[in-house]
Amino acid sequence: MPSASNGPAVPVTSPSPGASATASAEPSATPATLVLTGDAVDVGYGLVQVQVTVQDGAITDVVALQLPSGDRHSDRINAAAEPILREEALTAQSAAIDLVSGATYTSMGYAMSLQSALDGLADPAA
Amino acid sequence: MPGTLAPIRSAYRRVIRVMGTVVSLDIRSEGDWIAAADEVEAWLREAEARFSMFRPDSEMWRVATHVVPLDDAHPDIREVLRLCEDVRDASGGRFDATRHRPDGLLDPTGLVKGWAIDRAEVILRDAGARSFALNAGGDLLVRGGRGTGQPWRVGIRHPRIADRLACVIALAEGAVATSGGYERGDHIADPAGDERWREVLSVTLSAAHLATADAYATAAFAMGRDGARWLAMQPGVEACVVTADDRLITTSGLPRLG
Repeated sequence: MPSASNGPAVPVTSPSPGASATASAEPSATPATLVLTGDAVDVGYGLVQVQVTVQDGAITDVVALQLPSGDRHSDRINAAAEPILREEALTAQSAAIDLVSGATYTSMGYAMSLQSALDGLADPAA
Repeated sequence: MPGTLAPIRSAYRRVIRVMGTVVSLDIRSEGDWIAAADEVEAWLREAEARFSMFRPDSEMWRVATHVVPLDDAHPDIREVLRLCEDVRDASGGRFDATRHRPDGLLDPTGLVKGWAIDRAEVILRDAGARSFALNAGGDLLVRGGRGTGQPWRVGIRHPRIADRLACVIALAEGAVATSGGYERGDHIADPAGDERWREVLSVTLSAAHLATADAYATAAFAMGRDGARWLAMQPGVEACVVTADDRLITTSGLPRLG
């Protein structure tokens, strides 16, 4: 797996122009976040260049800046040994939606659910 | 409701009380869908009658209590129990139909509902519906976008505030299942007994089919914080986890709208 130790890397303190590619749109990014851009490496059939985000010592994101097709990609490299997870503060949102997933409610719980509002029903049985 | 409700143009909608919860059917394809919805409703009631662990006359109850040998059981029962074993093995025993009940009876309830919804999807597709959603008490399946070439907008319920959302995802096709402790707190499945589930408020994942999505959500919930990592390693699965300290952990491929 590509990592920051795999050759020369340029540490950039976040936020940086490169950091926007990670879409970690947390405005209060912790100072412990590093975005490391590796050198372009010829893997035999083209150039590969990756950007790695490190937060509190753990890799939280890997982005391919160059892949052998020659185009700039933002594909995540899912073969990374560590699964890529993002973490942010929980917010309580309102948004236009079509349906709601949540822990399974009972028939009674349904009456109180957003889904019942979406179904447009007053619930006589509750 | 705080501005959450968009104008919705459904061609047909039905709400079915079954399996201890409520199934919402929302068909966006134009057409007359009463007969197809009748067939879905009849199927869900048939599945409930066969699998209920609340009815001593159900076939599943008789299998669980060894009145009926498994080899003689209905093929649906054998199929569901095979799926349960698959998820048990994949989850290192965090989902285990043999260790869910205090009395030790075999209980596949955690997988049956999703499995029945997967079958209902086939009924709707065979009837010609291309664009529809089935939401079974918060575990759901969508097909064909929402009818305007747009993906379905699936809200993930905020675990503390019932009419707010933790995030929103866009999904044209697929299943979304959530497991959490806030609706049925007495139904926490914790085969390992280490109470790791206390680390998280809810676990949501998207996958191709609801039967396994539902069971994987149950298993990941029992893993606590490690559930997010485990789900991220499953092929074809994206997930979001709300932790007890109010963090939202998402896999990088989750198609988020908000």
